[in-house]
Amino acid sequence: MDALRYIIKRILLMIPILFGISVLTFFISNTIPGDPARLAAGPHADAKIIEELQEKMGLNDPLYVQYGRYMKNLVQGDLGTSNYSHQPVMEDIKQYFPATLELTLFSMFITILIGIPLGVISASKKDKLADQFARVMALIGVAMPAFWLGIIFLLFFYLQLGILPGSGRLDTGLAPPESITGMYTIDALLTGNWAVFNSAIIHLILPGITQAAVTIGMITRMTRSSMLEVLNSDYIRTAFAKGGSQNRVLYGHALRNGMMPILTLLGMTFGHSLGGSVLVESVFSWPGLGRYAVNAITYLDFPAVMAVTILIAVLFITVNLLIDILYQVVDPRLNYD
Amino acid sequence: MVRRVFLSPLTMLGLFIVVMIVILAIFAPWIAPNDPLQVNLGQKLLPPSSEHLFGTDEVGRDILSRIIFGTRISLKIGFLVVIIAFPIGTILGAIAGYAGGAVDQVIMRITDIFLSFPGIILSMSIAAALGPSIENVLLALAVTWWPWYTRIVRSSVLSIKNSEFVESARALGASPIRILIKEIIPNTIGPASIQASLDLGFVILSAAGLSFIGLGAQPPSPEWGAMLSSSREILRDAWWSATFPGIAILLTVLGFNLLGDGLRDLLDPKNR
Amino acid sequence: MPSSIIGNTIKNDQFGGKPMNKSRLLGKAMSLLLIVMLALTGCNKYNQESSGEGNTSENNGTNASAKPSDPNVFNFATNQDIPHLDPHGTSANTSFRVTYMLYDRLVTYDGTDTEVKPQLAEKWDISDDGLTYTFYLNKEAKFHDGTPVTAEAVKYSFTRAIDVGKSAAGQFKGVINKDSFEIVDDHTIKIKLEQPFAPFIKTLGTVFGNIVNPKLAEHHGDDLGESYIADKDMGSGPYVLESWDRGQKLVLKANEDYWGTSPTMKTVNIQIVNEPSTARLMLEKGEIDLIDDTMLSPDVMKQMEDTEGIEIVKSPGYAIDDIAINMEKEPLDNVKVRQALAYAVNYDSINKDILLDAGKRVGGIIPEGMFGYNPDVKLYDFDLEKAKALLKEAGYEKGFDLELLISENNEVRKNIAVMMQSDLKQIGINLNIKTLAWPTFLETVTSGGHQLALASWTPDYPDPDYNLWYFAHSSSKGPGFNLAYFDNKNVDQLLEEGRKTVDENRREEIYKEIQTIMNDEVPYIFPSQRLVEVAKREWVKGFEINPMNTWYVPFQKITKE
Repeated sequence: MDALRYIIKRILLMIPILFGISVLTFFISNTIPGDPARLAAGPHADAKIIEELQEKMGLNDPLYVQYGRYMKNLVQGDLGTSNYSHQPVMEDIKQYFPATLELTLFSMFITILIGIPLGVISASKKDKLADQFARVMALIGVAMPAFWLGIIFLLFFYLQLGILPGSGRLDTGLAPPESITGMYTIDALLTGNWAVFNSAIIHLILPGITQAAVTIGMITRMTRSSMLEVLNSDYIRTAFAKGGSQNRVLYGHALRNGMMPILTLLGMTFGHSLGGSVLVESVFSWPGLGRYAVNAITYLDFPAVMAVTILIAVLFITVNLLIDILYQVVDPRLNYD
Repeated sequence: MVRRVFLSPLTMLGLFIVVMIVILAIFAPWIAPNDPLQVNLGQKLLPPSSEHLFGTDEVGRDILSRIIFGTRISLKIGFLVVIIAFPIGTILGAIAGYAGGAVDQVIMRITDIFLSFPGIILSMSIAAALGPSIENVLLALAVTWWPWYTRIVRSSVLSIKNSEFVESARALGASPIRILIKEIIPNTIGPASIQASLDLGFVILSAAGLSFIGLGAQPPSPEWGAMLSSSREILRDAWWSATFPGIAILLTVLGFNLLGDGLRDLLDPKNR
Repeated sequence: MPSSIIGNTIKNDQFGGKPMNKSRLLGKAMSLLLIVMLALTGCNKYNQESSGEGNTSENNGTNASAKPSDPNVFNFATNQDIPHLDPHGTSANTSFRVTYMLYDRLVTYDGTDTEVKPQLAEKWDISDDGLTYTFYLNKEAKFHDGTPVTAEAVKYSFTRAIDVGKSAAGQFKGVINKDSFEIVDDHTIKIKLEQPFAPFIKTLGTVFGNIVNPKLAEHHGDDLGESYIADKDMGSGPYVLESWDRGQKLVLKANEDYWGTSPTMKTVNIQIVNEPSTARLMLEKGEIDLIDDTMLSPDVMKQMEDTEGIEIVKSPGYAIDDIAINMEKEPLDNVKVRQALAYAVNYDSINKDILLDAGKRVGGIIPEGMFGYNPDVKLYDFDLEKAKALLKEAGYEKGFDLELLISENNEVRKNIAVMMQSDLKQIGINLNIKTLAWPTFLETVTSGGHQLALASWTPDYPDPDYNLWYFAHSSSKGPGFNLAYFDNKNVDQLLEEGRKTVDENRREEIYKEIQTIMNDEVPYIFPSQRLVEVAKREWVKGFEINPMNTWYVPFQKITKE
């Protein structure tokens, strides 16, 4: 009962946060010098044409009226129409968000596959060479400018070795699979389209690793410190004393008990990555949410800016809420506020 | 305690890198072999040589000199962002944690708003609204950074709020503000300042990223992210033009990370 | 509730852990990843686009082979996203490139020619007073759904363009209106102009003259079908829209039932590649056949010239770089100051060192090669002494601060700006450069918030009225693109006379005179008239560059051999 009340309370708390974000976004984006009507009217337009467009686009109303209108539509589930693509913003997001989600899931997968074992080794070999090496690698990963790393990867794996593609989500000749989730790999699996699946996975590798470079570093460090704490505890010593095998104790007992902070950081990173990384997306021509957001601001596409901001915030808050709930489930000693 | 610092070679390496960068920044005009802004189109895109150790860029400027002067910009951004964000975040966090109740709720909800606000949208809006410049990148980063400190400080405050020394100060009739300033903040600032030292590197990296997409430094400023940005097209033919700014960013951020990481190990009370 | 989840990202390390035995897990994880990668990638896939003559290792991974993999598929790369496909509502070149293929026009531009050719209109008559145009439509022409292109469709298209009130409306405003059209029969239409407008026929060949299937009216909704047509094709052109994955790739398929000459290239992939450096690598590998002309800088073009299998096509263009001097701002209102600035620009170095000879000096906004060009205007030379002397005469020998606006993502303009900054410093002018995103740039300059603004200008149709009216008529100040806020009664009168004059010789005189006046008054400085440079594979044949519509790629007649 407590748990349910807690969850409901947290969900209700999202409302003022989202309200604040929407107000902030709306007014900040409207202070950008630039007139969407001027932009839509094209370079040959005279003042009268621009005025008519301003009227048509509702830009002459006071800001709070425009905001009210936007929120009224939003509550009814209407995100508005993009000034840039002339499509409903919802349609745009359906196209760009799955690309970001797919890349994020893939880079999280790599992060877990490399970061956690590296952290465990680091902890079990504390202060030894392996630990120092893992530490330096982790800190370099965190310090590496993603855009620079991406370009270096391109030169090496695409140009020099020619084993990985340089841009986009699929080979040019292939048509995307029928859209179910919008994530090409999963849709290809669901429809049994192996050629597309292969191509989609290959295209994920370079952007995935580039994006994972930072998170691997963070997860490695976190796993190390979390493991050290657990390894020190009595029951792990007991497990070793009883003659448990190295890997069994490390991964079976210690890691499971030290998992919570790691999960927390993973969730945080996941929540952040869902906003899309403009830098990685630009280098690899990945049609994700980050690029969409940059484009929206550049072209004063306010409905799109609003929608993206709110979407990203909702995702971020939700992921954090899920982690908090998970915390409660795993460790019921924590009380509900 | 002091012995530890000397014992960790990686922390020493971090310290060494940071000290070197600070020295480069302070003495840039004397160290740099050339004027970092001097355009010389007759000497564009020259490979590294004894005359230009790191080669020249697309308008013939000496890359080494630009990187040396670039340390000033990166350090300025790194330190100023932390200097602005740290006190704001710390004070708000301390107030929220100590006061509790409605004040806590309001402060934390505002913090949540800024935390969940997509950073790139905030930075781009600020740059677009106020015009692109180093100062506005600084502002944008500070605005996205302070909530982290608020979170950390608040949780530390919660853990010591009911400790004996706070209780005794209260029993002696100290005012809440006095308790906050004299007792709470000094005892909670530790974890946050460790975080701040680690953040310096991240801030520098983020600023370079923003300049890379054209939001920050204006030409002819020798900002490293901007240098990378304008040389990425010719990276294939003039490898030096993007390689050295990239290494500069990497080393600087790495230096701060190594140092921050070492300091954290050192200052962490659990390690004493 | 646990409040500090977000804050405690990095937990503190613990010391004193028990040393453990060696674990091979990391090695296992790494090798697993490697195996997965290799299994998926197979062998050097992205090296052998074609006949595969083992050219990879030798040539730094590039593909020098002379044979394309599939001669029927064309791969085009651009870094500019395509906003939407409404031919009447956008001024984005990337949209133009696509809609010019999906739609036909009454008349069209093709090849290197800057005069219009018949397309949907077989022929046309112009009345003696220059007010009435009668068009006779080709009876073979069909929309993609099989319905014929009729006079009704022509009327519908222009009416909608005016109603939508966006890019196309701006071009036709003051020339035609909704009542200008008279349908004579199914294939004959009369258009009456509001006033004589000599270049009218030229405007009809632009992308805004695209003829849309009137069935669009059924989908008007409350936005004149803007959102409906945004991702659809309702034209009669040589290509149909096959698919469009936003932000990635737009695919055009040849219209097999095209009423005109059957298109050569069966499939056209227009790929969005954000990073110019990546696009260039893809071209070198043969994955891309041709790259958008605006994408690569002269430095890169120069580097690629020697790459085997790649050809850099250079062709005269009508694009002119201009620096607008806001004459309403002090001290720029002083003609001596403006002349001093004109003497302080190192034109030769810009054209030689920055553009690497992909540009040449020009005396005004009418490009060489276009009707009305005045070859006799005096060119300002780079002469800092003269500039200093002029500043002294004007009373500014101590110098002053100036701000130059440029728009984002243009390396060449940035380099020109940096060079000017360096030169102006020597005559005591401290130039600050400000880079703005295009919409902000547009807003700032059209509302007069700038001192100097560096931009470039390409006419949509080749008539001196187009360039000069926008640049010099006082009614064009600000939004009309007279960004110098130039206000000269004499020039205004000449421009108005030019529009009404039918005699081409008199028109030429008029426009030449305007250029002379502007050359003395210096509302603008013109650093360069650009050559258009396009990087393509050698196997691409039949590609020509139009000096105005540099975005135009004639997919319908290109071949790959």
